[in-house]
Amino acid sequence: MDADEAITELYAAHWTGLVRLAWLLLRDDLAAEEVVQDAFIAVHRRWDTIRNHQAAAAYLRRAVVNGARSGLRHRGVEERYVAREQGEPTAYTRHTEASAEDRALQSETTSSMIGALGRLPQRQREVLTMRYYLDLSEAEIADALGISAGSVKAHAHRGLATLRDRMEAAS
Amino acid sequence: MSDRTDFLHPDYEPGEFDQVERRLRQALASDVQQVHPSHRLDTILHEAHEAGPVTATGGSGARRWVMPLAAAAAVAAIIGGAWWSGQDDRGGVTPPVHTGPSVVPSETATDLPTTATTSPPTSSTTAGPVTTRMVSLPVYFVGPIGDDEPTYKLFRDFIRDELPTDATPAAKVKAALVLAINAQPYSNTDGYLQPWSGQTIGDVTVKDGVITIDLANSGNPDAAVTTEIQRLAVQELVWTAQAAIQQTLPVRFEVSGGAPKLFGSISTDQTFTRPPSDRLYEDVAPIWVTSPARDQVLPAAKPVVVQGLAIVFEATVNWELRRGSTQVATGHAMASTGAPMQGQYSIDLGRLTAGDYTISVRELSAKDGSVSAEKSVSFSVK
Repeated sequence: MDADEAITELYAAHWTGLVRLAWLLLRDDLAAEEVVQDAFIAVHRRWDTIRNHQAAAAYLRRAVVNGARSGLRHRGVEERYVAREQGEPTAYTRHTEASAEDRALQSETTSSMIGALGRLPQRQREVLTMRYYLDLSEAEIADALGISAGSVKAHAHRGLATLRDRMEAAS
Repeated sequence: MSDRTDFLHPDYEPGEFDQVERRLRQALASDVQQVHPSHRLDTILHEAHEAGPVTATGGSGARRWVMPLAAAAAVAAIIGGAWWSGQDDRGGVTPPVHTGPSVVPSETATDLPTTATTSPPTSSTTAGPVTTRMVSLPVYFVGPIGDDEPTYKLFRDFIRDELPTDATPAAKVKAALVLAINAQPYSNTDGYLQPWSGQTIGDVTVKDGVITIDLANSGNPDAAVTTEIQRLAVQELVWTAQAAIQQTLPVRFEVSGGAPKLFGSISTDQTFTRPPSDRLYEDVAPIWVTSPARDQVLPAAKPVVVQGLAIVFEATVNWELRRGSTQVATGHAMASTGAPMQGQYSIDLGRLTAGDYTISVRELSAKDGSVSAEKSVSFSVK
């Protein structure tokens, strides 16, 4: 299989999911697409050495998480923007043009849960998002984040505990 | 995807997190419903080919300096500065360039690990005293928006040019400006005006947060016949200069001999910049087609996807695909956001049989259905 075919298949299988993952981490439509696009380009350019769908999927996840993270790092300077968007219910930084229809779909529960997730430390947020949105295994998450399986467990535990406490406090 | 039970810590109470897990799962699933990724497969393939395979020596292709800019643009879009949110100049939405060899048909790179096959013969490693590489520079032109008047606004093209590998920001700006003042190659195909006819770009400096552009003369009012075209001519250079360094630094002009006014009407005793993202329409044409590029040749084996940017009412664009003079298909598409903001749109035309095509993307007047803006691009499928 040549690189074009491989990327076309990977795209069909993973594009939407990975853009949405990046969006959950970044909260910015365009930046999310950019990050994932760059990841696909990188895989295409390295296809000679990757040459395997599973390895490529793992590479994509790592690249997306790293890309999202470096996107977030640059956000120190965007307080002005955050301040402007504070009115938005689910926004830790929100750059999405949701239609009225989309907004209606979003229940209060979703908003408060997403808001609480957004306030977790970055690592916990990443672990929980990969686990409960993409349904990745502990090993896959450990690989994507470059941490040990034990750390994944620990982050998941702390994150869930915090979310549960916030849920209970709110109800 | 495999093991689940290992996930929770051994000292969890069974069921301890059942409820929060369920709610979190639902919240994430529901939250992402508002994200509708645009179609970027063609862009990915195009850019990957343009960059070429990564080799053992880390050899890379033409886009070496453009790539970090794409990343920078993504970040800048997050920062939410005025014009970045207009999605301008992002590597992502604007792939193909229209000169140079066609890089789209897949020259399979698999057997050629050491050469950047699709990039022009430039960059790699230690060629000579001055190494250059081909880059795609975003360049703005003043063109007709496609209404009856005609009204003129800015369009953006990506033009290939050869720059020294170590080109300074000022050198990039100058290279882009030199291209911008020469609209002649596109005046027949796109109707671009040539308001800077007879102009020469002098020194360009990027210093203390200001881009200063030296011009050989103040501009010929006969080449830019209305005050609006004169204004757009100036903005054309402002947008081009800012795009070349991917920063919205204020722009100042200095005319050789110290003429105080450009075109005899616009004072040089001021700085210029782009309008904010909710007023881009003051400068930018309602409809851009960013892909395919004009006269691009696309492979028949792949679906054709038209992409572009639009500042249109209710985010709606209409399109018509013609082969020669025969209408092949029509439809409409939604941009990611409506006027006054600039949104991205994407039109999947599916696979097309070999031939020469023209895609026209239009905004129809809400009042009477007449065409209030239109951009057409011709391309071929082989």
